[in-house]
Amino acid sequence: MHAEIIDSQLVRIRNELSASGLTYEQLQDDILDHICCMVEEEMEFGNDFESSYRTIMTSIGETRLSGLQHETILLLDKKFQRMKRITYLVGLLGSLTAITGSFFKMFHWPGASIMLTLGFFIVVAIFLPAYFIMSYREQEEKPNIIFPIVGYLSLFLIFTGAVFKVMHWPGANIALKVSLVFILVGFLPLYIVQIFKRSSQTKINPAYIIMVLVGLSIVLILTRINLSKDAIDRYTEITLLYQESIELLDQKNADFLNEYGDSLGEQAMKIKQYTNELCAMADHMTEGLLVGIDQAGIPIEQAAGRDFRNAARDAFIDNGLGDKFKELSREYEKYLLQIVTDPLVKNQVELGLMYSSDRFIIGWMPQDYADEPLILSYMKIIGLKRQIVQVEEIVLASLLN
Amino acid sequence: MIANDLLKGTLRTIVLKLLADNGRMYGYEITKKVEELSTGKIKLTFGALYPVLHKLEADGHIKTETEYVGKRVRKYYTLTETGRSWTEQKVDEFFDFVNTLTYVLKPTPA
Repeated sequence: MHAEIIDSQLVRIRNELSASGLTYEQLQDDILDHICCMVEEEMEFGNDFESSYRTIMTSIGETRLSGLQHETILLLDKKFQRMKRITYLVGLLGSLTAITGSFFKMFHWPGASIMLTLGFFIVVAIFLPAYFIMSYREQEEKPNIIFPIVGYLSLFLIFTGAVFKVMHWPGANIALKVSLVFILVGFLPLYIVQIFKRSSQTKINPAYIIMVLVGLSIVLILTRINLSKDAIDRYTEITLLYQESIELLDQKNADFLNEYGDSLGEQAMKIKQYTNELCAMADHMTEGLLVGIDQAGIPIEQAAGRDFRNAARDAFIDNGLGDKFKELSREYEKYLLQIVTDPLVKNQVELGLMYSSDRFIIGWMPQDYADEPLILSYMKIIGLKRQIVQVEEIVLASLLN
Repeated sequence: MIANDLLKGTLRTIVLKLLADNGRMYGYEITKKVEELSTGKIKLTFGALYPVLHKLEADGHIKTETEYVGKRVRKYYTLTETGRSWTEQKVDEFFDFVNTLTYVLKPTPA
């Protein structure tokens, strides 16, 4: 006998389909007929409706029905499909503009900054929001709104921070640091929880993981190592030359004072006093930098690669040591200009101690070193110290004549 | 069984070709036919089949006729005119692809 589903059973299956979220009529009719055919086939083997229906429904798995409807509707949604295509196109356009911009920037061609900013703006303001809205709409059941928002904010901060950093606009480091917190405290835990919560249904999206890793590396590169190993080596080389120069000049000046100190009298004493005090301050600042990275007392060539941005703040900015050093240098310059007469010596004094000026570009501004890598602060101060002992050497020699 | 990811791109072609050969068919019939022709190696789930059918319909390649089986609605799918020529093209493309693959993957003679 041919097994057939009676009307009441049909109504029941339809109701259960609706209850499980399959409400789109076009699709519901298809699935209803399909399931009925499967059940009838099962009943051909002599099973009753109830057990046959259960067997079929278990083999299908109810949760997939609403997902199937969602997939079908999105596939038919021309607007959504078009939006998807446009979004990817815009993303491509934005990233190409940004890449062209960075290429121009490398060669110092005009328009680089505009392209770079525009490209990142397109990516951050158009592509990323659209992408996250789409991925939100593509989620089947119980869409999670927090996830795309945290994801968007993380990427927004990374990209904005990166552009600000390149353009030397203020706030770059803050944006990058906050984005790091977003990724580590927000995005990653959320993503891991999501994977474990529905391990059977969610396909792990490799795009997310790639974006997170790239983002992390960008943040780390931009906030930590600003200088290449090569650049650090060169700065270290200069620093070591300065140090050698200081040692030689110190020795020469000491020998000079031993020999002529008495005959030169008070002026030489005063110069020695100023120089000693200024050099002590400079040493204090460089030592402070090393203390900041817990490397007190070790040679600079071993500490140069370590970086700790706040070292300069702690060593000579926040405690005012840098400003005091400048003030004393200015006083010293004034004194020297009073006692020397030779125009060439005067000129060399002025040039050597020019850093004590408060004028832009001419004077040294300690606070400018707040965010610089350690080796740059270190090299600068050693360089200033060298200028001090060199001025001492020149002036002492001129006093003898 | 043939792996799902291998089937993914060809499902549309399979459906079109079946409709071209058999005239009008309904969903369950299509899955049965595929199972029969492939001697059970290809089992289409309706989760894979219906999104494809609805997309093809929306794109104008196939059309539906509705019939009642008792109180049950049964939708028969048939190719439209554009669908027919499109099918030929798709099937040709597929054989071209298979031939190329055979050529690429065939064992090199020793």
